[in-house]
Amino acid sequence: MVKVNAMELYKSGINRINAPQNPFKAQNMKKDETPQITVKHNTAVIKTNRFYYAAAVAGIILITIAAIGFIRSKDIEISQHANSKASHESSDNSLIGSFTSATTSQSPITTTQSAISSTSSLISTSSRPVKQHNYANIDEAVKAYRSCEDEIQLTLKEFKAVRSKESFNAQDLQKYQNKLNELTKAQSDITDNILKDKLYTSDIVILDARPVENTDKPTAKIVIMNVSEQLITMLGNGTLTDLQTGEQVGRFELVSQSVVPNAGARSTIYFDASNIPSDITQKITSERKKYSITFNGSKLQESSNGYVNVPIKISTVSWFESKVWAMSYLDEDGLYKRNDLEKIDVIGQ
Amino acid sequence: MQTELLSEYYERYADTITRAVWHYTGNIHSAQDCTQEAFLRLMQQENMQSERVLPWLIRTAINAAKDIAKSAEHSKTVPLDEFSGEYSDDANILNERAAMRAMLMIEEKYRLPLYLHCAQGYTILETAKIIDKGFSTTASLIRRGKKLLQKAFEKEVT
Repeated sequence: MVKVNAMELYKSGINRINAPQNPFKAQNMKKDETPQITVKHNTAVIKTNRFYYAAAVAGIILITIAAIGFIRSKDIEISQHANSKASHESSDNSLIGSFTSATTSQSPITTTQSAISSTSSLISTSSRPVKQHNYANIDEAVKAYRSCEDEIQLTLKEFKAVRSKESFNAQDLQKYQNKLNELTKAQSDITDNILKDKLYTSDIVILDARPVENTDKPTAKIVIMNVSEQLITMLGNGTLTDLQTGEQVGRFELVSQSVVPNAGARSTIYFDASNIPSDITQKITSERKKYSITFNGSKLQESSNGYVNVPIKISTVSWFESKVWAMSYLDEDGLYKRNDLEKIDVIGQ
Repeated sequence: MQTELLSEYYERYADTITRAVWHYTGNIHSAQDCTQEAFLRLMQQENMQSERVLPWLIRTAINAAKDIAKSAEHSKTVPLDEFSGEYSDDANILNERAAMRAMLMIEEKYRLPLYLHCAQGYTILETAKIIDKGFSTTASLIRRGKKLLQKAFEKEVT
């Protein structure tokens, strides 16, 4: 008899179950266009049946209420033994009233409407409550953000240390997960406060920048907040310049960019910092020596033909400086734009 | 949630979720419906950490599968068995079908951890996080599930 591995057979069978094609793939999708999703026929059937089911249930409930009303009015009639005519009229009215309300209230429609309104309220309540901080200035807010980020990094380290042990309790991991969620929420609260209290003085606020540990390549993580209503995306390379000598000491390559929605368009940008010499990295992290970082960006601007992407260079004046980093815009020729120059607010210099 | 991000999640997870939900629905079309329902609900979600997405999608899709199982529509329907409908005398295919039927014969609580750990290659810890159970509970579910699957399979082929 041949010994058969049921799991291996099951695995080869399960591989033949395939998901449908991606309905979310945005092909030629314009800005702000709602993604289209194919709703399958049997889903619609189930939903229609649910509607009739809800209508039938509502009808049964109303008839039951009417019947109870009728019986109770009859009880009253028996117990009082008087004024029978009036009592009959009353019970009839109660019955008629119940049926009138049953026929005129259009209960299934009302039920559907309330379901829709509750769904919309569910969607609209996604604007979560924000903790009010009353920061005096952007300096304070960014300091708070950075200390949250420090704590996140520390918690992540502890989390990884616990996870790497041979035996550990899943509840401990959950504890770290909860703490991370709280800290992330606190960061969102801070950015919401920056927006609400209009603490920003330039279009872009750099919230945090730090090297990312344990990656294949040396990587830098920079968190920026775009407070302008225009879309700013980062492109291509960034450069690192020694502020004292003015010498370009290294180059970054954009790895990825992600945006946190509803947080003042907060973006986290990851740069490959392989081209930053290790001695410079050492100086950045240990000595907190000042360097300037410049990276290329693109800003969505309105033109006569609609919106166009205008390439820009975005430069910070210090690197891993504990205070807020000032930003400045340079045009393609490396010259400051007059209008943007007016927006530059060098904080903490 | 952004369309690009949603699309990325779909590419990455749709297949895993459809297969996971199949263990509850027993037919591919309902599993696809549940996957679709989970992604529609994900569209309405805003700030969600990327590591929470897969467990959330699996749980939402499985809840949708349970809703379908409870519905009157479902109780009146006999699904076409996609594994026995097509004639085959290939011993390997027949055994595969028997293994799939055996998987649907074992208790529901064993199916998802078995699928995630053995077919998808998630570690016990990752599986525990996805199914929202403790580490040791998940490990014993997988251990017992494997034994039950083997027994159900043997019963199926004899």
